[in-house]
Amino acid sequence: MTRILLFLFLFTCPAFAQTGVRLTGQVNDQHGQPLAFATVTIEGSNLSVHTDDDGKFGFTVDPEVVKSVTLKVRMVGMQPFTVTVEGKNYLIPLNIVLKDQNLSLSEVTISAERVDKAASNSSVLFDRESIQQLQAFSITDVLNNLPGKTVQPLDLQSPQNIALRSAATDNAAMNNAMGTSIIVDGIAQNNNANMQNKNLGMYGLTGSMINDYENNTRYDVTFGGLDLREIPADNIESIEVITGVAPAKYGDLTDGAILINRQAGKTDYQFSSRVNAGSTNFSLTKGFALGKKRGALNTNFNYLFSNADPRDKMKTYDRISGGLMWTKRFGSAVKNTLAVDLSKKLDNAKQDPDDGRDLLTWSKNAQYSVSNRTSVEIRHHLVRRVDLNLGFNAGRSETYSQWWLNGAPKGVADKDTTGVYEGFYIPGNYTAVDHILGRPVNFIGSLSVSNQLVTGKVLHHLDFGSNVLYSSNEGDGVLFDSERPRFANSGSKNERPYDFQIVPALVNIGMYVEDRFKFDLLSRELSISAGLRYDLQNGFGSWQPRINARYQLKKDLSLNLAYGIATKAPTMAFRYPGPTYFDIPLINYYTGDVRESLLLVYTWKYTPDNSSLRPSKSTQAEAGLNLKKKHFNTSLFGYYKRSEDGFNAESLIMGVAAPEYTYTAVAGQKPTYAPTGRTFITPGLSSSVATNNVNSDNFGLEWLLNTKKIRAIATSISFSTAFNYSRYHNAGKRIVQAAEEDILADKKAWYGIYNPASFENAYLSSRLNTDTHLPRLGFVLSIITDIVWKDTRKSLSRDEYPFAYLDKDSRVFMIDSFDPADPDYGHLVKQTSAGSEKSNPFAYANFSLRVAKEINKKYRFSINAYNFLNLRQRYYDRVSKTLYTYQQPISVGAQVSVKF
Amino acid sequence: MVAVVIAGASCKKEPNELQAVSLKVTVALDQALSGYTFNLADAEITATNLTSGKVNTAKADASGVVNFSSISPGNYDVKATLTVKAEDYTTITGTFVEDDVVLNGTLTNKTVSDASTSLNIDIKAGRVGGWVFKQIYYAGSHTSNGASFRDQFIEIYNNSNEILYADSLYFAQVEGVNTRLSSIDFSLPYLRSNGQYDWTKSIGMNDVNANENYTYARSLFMIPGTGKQHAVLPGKSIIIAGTALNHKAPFTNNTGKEVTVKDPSLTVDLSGADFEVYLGDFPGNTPLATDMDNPAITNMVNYARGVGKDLILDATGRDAYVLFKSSQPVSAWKKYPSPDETSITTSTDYFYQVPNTLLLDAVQIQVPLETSRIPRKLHDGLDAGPVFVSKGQYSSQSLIRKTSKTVNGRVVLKDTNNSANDFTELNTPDVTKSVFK
Repeated sequence: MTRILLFLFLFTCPAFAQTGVRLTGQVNDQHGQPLAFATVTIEGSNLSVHTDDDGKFGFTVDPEVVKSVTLKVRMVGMQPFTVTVEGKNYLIPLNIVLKDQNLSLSEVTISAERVDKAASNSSVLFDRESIQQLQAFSITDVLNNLPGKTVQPLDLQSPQNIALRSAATDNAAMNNAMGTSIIVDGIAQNNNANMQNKNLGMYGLTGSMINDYENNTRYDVTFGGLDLREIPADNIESIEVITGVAPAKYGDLTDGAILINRQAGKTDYQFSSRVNAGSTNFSLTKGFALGKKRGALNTNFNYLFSNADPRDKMKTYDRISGGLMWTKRFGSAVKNTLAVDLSKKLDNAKQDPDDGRDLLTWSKNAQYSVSNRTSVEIRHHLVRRVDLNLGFNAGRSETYSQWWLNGAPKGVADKDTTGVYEGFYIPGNYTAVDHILGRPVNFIGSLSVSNQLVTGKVLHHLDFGSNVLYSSNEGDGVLFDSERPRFANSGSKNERPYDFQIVPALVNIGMYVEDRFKFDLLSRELSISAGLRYDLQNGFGSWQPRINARYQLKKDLSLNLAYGIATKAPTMAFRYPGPTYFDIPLINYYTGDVRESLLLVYTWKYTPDNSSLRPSKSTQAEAGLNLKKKHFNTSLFGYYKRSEDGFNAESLIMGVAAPEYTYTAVAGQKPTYAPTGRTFITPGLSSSVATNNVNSDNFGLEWLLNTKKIRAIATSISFSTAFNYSRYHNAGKRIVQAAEEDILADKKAWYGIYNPASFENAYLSSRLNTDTHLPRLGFVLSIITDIVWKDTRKSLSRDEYPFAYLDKDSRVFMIDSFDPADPDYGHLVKQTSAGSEKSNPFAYANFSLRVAKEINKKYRFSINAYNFLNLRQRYYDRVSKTLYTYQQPISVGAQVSVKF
Repeated sequence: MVAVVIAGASCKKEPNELQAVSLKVTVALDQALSGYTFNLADAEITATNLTSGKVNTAKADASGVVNFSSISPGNYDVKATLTVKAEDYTTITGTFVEDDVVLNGTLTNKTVSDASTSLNIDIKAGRVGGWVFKQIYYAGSHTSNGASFRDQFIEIYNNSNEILYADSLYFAQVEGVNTRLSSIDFSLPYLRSNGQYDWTKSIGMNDVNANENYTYARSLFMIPGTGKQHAVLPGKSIIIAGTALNHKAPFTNNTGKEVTVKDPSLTVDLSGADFEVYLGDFPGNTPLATDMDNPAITNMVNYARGVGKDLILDATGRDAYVLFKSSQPVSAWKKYPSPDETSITTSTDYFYQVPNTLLLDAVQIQVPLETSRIPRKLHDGLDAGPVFVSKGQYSSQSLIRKTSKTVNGRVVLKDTNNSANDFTELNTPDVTKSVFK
């Protein structure tokens, strides 16, 4: 720790005084009214200020060092404005007029674009207008428009996650989603305190999440990223998606960041209503100017209700959210934003009265969050700005599932320490309940300091800071009732109640320093943003260099290079999964009458120690070319990303010696029992334990091309092609029981231990997006063509031979080289899927359509249709006997927005 | 075995005209019976139109030929049955039988569209033995309100006139293809033309008669005993239960109160079963929660559990059952993987090869719904006609063998080796062993 502080100190020490002139300006709207809280950024720097109540702003710039600056002015509901000021004009005050954003403006960006002066070299930006055109129910509908993704029909009935820059699936994709940080207004939202799962040791990873058996889906995202359905898009000003190397200030991520900026400042009332099949969404937003010196208050309200099938109400998803954000300046230097947000969701799979199983499942989530961001501008020659962001959120997650079980009576045990106990019998007919109550609490604090210093003729924008992430769960936990277990004695394991309040909190600490500077190399500009981050996560420290560099090969052509390492801390569900209880039956004497029946068990408690669980890690290198021409711009990026130590669970074999007992039957009474003095081992006892065994190598190419509007046809075209390739294994070693035949023949090896299966996935897709915009009519037509050229999944590994085996007493024997003739283990050749491949034999396309028409700059009517030609290309794979249908049926939605 | 030959050349049909056609069926004795002079003129032939359901019945002439001179064109199931009186059978074959012997032959789904179609049908005899299935309760009871598959049982009856010992009597479920006929890819190399496995293709098999002479046991359970422990009187029976509990109220709590299933009338009390299958201690088996071991009931000896973790009969009816006795220990018998296995791995299951000559009784169950039917696992000689309970799975219905006659108070059950004729159904299974139909 001291090393880092010393490092920071050294870094800041050689700074020397900087002189400069004051660059000032005034921002007004079209009616000449000053605009408060407009954001003015010097592109390519860490400098960003907000206009005051009079619409004024100012920077100190040293004309000796900075020859010209490019200012970008953004304001909610306004068309962004960019201006470049030459050094000789620094002293002339700027007068900037922002136009209201609407479809009557001739230049409107409708599709997402790659922005070259953003947080990361290969960022993709969705601004307000493109989000609006997407008619999004949640940000999922926005993110499906990233290169390499395809437009999907609306799905609000199951959790939505996103995986960036990877073609891997299953656990590798879950880790990718978990490692994608969602940062709303500078405050990272995380899933670290999510513990909505039953016993990991008994059920494994996905099996431990409560399942809706009616719809065969799970509503909790315990081991993945945040559920993107829960984030509405209506009050979002812009979304920047970092898929490459994130700046050093972003920690606790491996695969990218989604930076969400919400609206702040005065706006009209905006009401939107949209429908799509059984889903309806209302949204109302408004930014109030509270008058001189009182700042601005932004409010938003969003309500969504959705039926899986409009014809019945068996499965619904409801979401309601609202928030207040108060932005205020204190003096000319301090800007403070206080936000309070509430949100609630309910996934409800209701009981079918005609189904005797009494099956019902629901998952509720309610959350409130308070965040405060303070930004202090300091006109000091060293320290230019200090930002303090504090976020607190607390939620209540409750998941419940029930099922009328009709089985035979069962013997169960409920003691929570190791020992020999009498268990008891329960009837086989009861309503089994799974019920988990979690109260995740997160606190996030970050302090960052922005400096400027000059070395020679080079201006450095130097940022350093640190952040702390505190996660705990105060819920009552797994409310397990041993009289009504959903599963009993599975693998001789049983659940026990698990109180989350006894689980320690997770504290992760990080600090970083980042320098952004540019200089001329061979008379071409080289911009470098170099950072170093250190995170302390679950006791593991990791250094994470991150660098983004851009070299201007020509005036319009730049070369981009980036390299970075990033880590993600294990979440509480992985770190503290709770003990596993084995109830090994010693005597199971059941006559139908419990008064004369006896269950004697040996309970063995295994408490996993996951203190050695490492953070997951990704290392990414990226190279790209960016060409900006007058009529179009295009970029080609390639990346290699290695993800290591992803979180997972794997089976750990437990050789538990249990004491042997005998009994003597007594007529009309419980049998009597006594130990024999011997012990026995139950073969194959195992528990799932959390590990770091998900690894993947990911390669990809992304080619984007955007044209400016072609006047003659009033159309702009954007084209993207993305190729992602992943080679990965997403499981640990596998333990497979020998064939019954060989066990009955009393061969020595009962279980083989095999290397994990590994896979190779490749995905190549293109998108052609045409936006026809007629400003005089306020009309936009977008046609999106998604083409999937190749989508393959191939099983690679030669995993049919074990590297070790277990005998029936769970003793491990290693196998150096497999010999099929070996009498002890030669029978352990496993069925293998190596070489099997799933692939589309032909390319398939999907066409989507979006139309918007604005009337009087106030009313906007939009419709969208996924797969509007209703193409359903199909392919029957004779080998796997599977029928694939590549497109989903047509899905049509409509939206009405009113500004008033 | 003589292959069935369809005579007649194809010609174009006139789609709009439906003219009556003629069908000539020639009945012949199977090769195994060649040389015997059974009177073929007693053979009864039925041709069932699969579209209209119309049944045409006729007797053969002395040379075994029947002419249906005017029937509707279409697809037909054709059956031939020749009942040889017990004394005739004994005279002709020299083998004593107590009951009449029924020779059966079946052709399924034959197209009769030509003006005149000829079909040949071979008839053969099944075994006639003393142990028979009396009751088969495979359907189970309502999954929520009854006891689901837990209350399944079979009742085995001494249909002979002397005391039989149940010791070392084997019960097996037959392995075979369970895919519905309409979904089978008949081009698969390991299937026969009827859709069932071609066991000659099994790894390690080198018997060309692997299909004709053997049945393959998916599960295999044996009644324990020293040989004279479990005497069963003529006309009496034994019950083998999956789980020998009172399924109406399997739980009596500490205060003596019984806890019943939702509707006890749907299920049965099997606490008085003679034997039960318990697989909880079977090596390598992860026990099934519902597989309880009633300490008062003798457990069966388990040789193979198949895929089941208890005695679980297929409630939908895609099963066939056999009973047999063997003078040699079964454990020394050969076992083969199913013919669709291309390599031996840890997931390969092996199935005991049971010689058909040992079989005492065999019953083919079928799925009630025509379109869901599966290829039969037993050939005509073992069971000429499959049977099912009319209300299907979880209906609480059981199959019960019909009464043939009563001799000195002893009920002789009908055993023509055609389960479709021999069985009828009970709406509530009988565990008292006293119900006869």
